[in-house]
Amino acid sequence: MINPFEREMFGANFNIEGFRESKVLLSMTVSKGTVLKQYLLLKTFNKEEYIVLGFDFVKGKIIPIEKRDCQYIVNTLKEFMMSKYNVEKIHINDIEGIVNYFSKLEIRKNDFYRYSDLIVLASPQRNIISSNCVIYSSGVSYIPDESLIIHNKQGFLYGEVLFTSVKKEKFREIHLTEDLILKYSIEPDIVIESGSTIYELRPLGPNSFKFILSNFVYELSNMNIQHTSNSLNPHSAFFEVLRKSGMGKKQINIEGYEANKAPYLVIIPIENLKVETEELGIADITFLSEEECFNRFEGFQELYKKDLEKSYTSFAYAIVESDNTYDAYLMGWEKIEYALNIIIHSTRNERIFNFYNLAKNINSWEKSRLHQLPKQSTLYYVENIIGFERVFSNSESVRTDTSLTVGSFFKETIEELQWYENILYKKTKGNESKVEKQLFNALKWLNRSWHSKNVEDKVIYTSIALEFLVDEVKTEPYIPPEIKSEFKGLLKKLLKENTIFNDEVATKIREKSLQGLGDPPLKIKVKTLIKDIGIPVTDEEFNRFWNVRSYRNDMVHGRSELQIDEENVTLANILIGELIAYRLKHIKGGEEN
Amino acid sequence: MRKINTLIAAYKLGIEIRETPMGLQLYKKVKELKGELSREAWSLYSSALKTSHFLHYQCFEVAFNVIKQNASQEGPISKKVLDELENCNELKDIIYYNSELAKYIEEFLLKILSGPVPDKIFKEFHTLKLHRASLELFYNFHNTKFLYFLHKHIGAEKVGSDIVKKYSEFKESVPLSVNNRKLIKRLSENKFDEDILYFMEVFDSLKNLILQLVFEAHYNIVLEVEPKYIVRYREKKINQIRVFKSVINKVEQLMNSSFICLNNQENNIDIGLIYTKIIRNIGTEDCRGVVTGIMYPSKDHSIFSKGFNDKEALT
Repeated sequence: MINPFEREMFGANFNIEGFRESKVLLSMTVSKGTVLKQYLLLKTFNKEEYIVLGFDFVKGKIIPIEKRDCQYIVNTLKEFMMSKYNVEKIHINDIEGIVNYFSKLEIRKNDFYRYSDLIVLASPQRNIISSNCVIYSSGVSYIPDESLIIHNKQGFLYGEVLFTSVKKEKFREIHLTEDLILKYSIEPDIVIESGSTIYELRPLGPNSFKFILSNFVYELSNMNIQHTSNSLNPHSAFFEVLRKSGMGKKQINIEGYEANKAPYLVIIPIENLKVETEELGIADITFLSEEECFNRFEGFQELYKKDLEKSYTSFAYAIVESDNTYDAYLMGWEKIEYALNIIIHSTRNERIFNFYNLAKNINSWEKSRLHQLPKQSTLYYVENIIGFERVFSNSESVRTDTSLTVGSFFKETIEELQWYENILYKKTKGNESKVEKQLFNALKWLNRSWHSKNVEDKVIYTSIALEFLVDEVKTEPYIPPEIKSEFKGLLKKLLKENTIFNDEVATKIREKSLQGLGDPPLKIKVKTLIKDIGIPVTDEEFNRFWNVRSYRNDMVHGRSELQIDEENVTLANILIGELIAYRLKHIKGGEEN
Repeated sequence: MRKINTLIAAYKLGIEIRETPMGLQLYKKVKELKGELSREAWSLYSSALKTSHFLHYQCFEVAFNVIKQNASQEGPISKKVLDELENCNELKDIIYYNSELAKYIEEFLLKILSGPVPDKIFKEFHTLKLHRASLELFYNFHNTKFLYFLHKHIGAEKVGSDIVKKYSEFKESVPLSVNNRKLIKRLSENKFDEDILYFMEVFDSLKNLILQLVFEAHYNIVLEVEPKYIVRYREKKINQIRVFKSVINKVEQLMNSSFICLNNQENNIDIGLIYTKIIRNIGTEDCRGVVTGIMYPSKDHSIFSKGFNDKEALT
C-alpha cells in the first residue's frame, strides 16, 4: 500500500502510454460516507498539459475515474485553483470551459477524455475502497459526511470537512483554533491520518457547515517578511522566516544539519537617539553614529536598506555567541535593551547633582528629556564573525490580513443577541450594575491583551482581565465559618496568654493571620464560575489556561528564565472571552443553565 | 572615510592598556628607568633592548638575560653594569610585570584565535574600555576569515605537519622577510606546500605584528607621523602589497620603533611595518630619516578568503 498522505509519489515520474512523461502536481483524497478515493493531478514535462487519474493506493496502481465523480473532481479543482489557498498558484487554462464540458459529457467507455489542456482518464466502472473517516479535535471525535484533502509535495495544502444534520449538543466541545486530525481506517487494519489547521468555518444552511483546512504554508503567504541575506546556514535560514511568523523554536526540527556555535555581530538601529561623540560604550555594548558604523562594518553598509518612514541616527552593536542568526539577534537585542534602559534611567534624573544626587558633578538638564525615549527599531543586521553568514531583516513580520470585514453575518449575530446589545446600551448610558461594570472592565483588559504584540504584556493584561471576571463570584466557604471562629478564638487566647506578644505585635499577627482567611483563592473562583456556567472545559484545557496565571506570578515575583508559550495565552484569552459572554447572559435572567 | 582593520584595532588596544591604572604605572616606570641608571648601564641596556625585535613585553627580560650571558666574556665594565642592573629594584619590577603581561597577552591572543567571544581576560588590567577594545580586535582579526581559509584550503591538520615544523625552526622573526621567503621556496616541493607555508608565514606574522604593535602603542614607541613631518613619500603596489619609502624630519622615535603610523588629515590611520631606517645628517638642522617598509592593507576584511597572495613581493 502507498500511503496517500506521504510524499513518495511526488518524487516519481509517471509514464502514461500516449503521453509524455509527467509528474504528480497534486493528490486529492476524497471520502464520502464510507467510501474513500484518491485522485492525482499530473502535469507533463515541458508542456501545459494536465492529466487527472484515479489511484488505488491499496494496490498501488492507476485506475480510471468513475464517470459520476468526474464532474465533482473537475469542479473541486476549479474551486481550489481560484481560492486563496492555492499558494503555489496552480493554474489550468480555461478551467470554466473544462467544468462545463465535463458536466455535459457522456462517458460510455474506459478512455481518456480531453478538453483544452486537461485530460481525464474516466470509465463507467466502479472502484471502491471502503473506509471509515473520523476527525479528532479538542479531545473529541466526529464522523463527517464528506472530506477532501489536497496534498502537494510540500505536504497538506487544502482540505474540507462537511457536516450535515448537525445537532448543537454534539458540537459544543470543538475549539476552532485547535488542530484537526483526519483519520481513515481501511479494512482490515490499515489506518492513515493527516493533521491540519482549521482556517474557516462556512455555514451552508441551518444544520450544515464545512471546515476549510490548510496549514502553515498558507499562513506564510499572509505575511510580508522582508529579508536580505547571504550564505545562511540551514538553522539560520529556517529560523529567520518561521520564527518571525510565530512558530516557537521547539516546534521547528531541522534534521541532518548540526548546529555549531559561532560568534555573531549584531547591529540594531536605534530610534530617537543621537550619539555626538565618535562612540559611546557601555559595558560590552557600543553606540555609534551611522557614519562610524559604516566605517567599521563594511558588510553592514552593503546590506543596509534605509527605512523610508523612519530615519536612524544611531546604531548599537554587540557581539554574542549562538548557532544561528535569529537567536543571535534575540541575544543581541536583550543586551542592547539593558544598555538602553540604563541610558533612559540616568537621563530621567532631575536633580541638581548628577544621577539622582549620587554623583559629584552638576547635572545638565532639559525638561524635554522626560519625553525623549530611545528605542530599538525592529530592523537588525547579524553577521557571523568567523564564517560568511549575513542577514539584514525586520523582526516585525507584517500580516496582510489584519483588516476585519463585518457584513450581513455580523448583523445577524447582533440581531440574534438582543440581550447582549441591551447590556451594552446600559453601559453606554452609565446604568450598568456592579457585576456588569466589572465584566466590562474584564473585556477592556482582554482587548488590551489581544492588541498587544509583546507576549509579556499580554500575560499581564490577561491576568488583570481574569481578576475582574471573577469578581463577586459566590463560592462555597473556603474554610467553614465554625472552624474560622474557633481559630479566631484560639488565636486571641494565645496572643493574650503569652507575654512575648505585646499589643503592637499582637495586632500585626492578628491582621496578617486573619486577613483574607475566608477568601477563596482565584483558582477556586474560576473553577466555580466555569462549573456554574456549564462551559465544557477539559482538565488539559484548564491546565493550559492556568499556566498563564503561573507566567504572571513568575513575572511579577521576578523569576527569570520564562518560557511563555503564546498558544496558552491565546487559549486563555478565548476562554476568558467565553466566560465573560456567558456570565453577562447569566445575569440577565438565567435563560440558559 | 575612516576605516578600521586588525592592526588599527591592536594599536587602539595598546593605547587603552596605557590608560588603565596598571598600564599607566608601568609606562611611567619604563620612561623613568633611564634616570634610575648610570649612563653606561642605560647605554648597554637600551642597546640590548633594540636588538630584541618582536619580543614585545618580553624584551625587557630578554635584554637583561643577554647582558647577563655576555657579561663574563666582555670584561670588567660589563660586569659592573650587570651588578648595577641586578640591584636596580625598578628594573626588577619592570621585568617582572612586563613578563607577566607578556604571558597574559599571548594567552589572550590564543583565546581570541580559537573562536569564542573574549571574556574578561586581562585580570589586573581589566577595565570595560579595555574589554571593548579587545572585542574590536577580536572582530577585526576574525573578519580576515583566516579560520575559513585554514579549514577549507589548508586543512587544520596540516598545522602540525613536518614541513611546517621545519619552517618554524628556521624562520626569522621579521615578518615576510626576504630570507623567510627564500626559505619557503627551498622547503616547498609543490604549490600546495608553498600555500601552506605562506599561510603560516602570513598568519604567524599577523600574530606577531599584533603583539608587537600592542606593546609599542602601550609604551608610545610607535613612530607617529603627521603630514607636516613628511618630506617625501612614495608608495608602490607590488602584488597587492604596498611598499613604501619615505623621508621624514621627525627622528626621535625612529630608532626604537618597528611600526610607522601615518595620521592623515581625516584622522585616518595607516600602519606600516618598518624594514630599514637610516638617519642622515645627524646633529644638524637638516636631520632626516629615511624609512622603508610595507604598509598593512587599509582594509583587511576577508583578506584570507580573497586569496591574499604574497609570493613575488619585494626585492
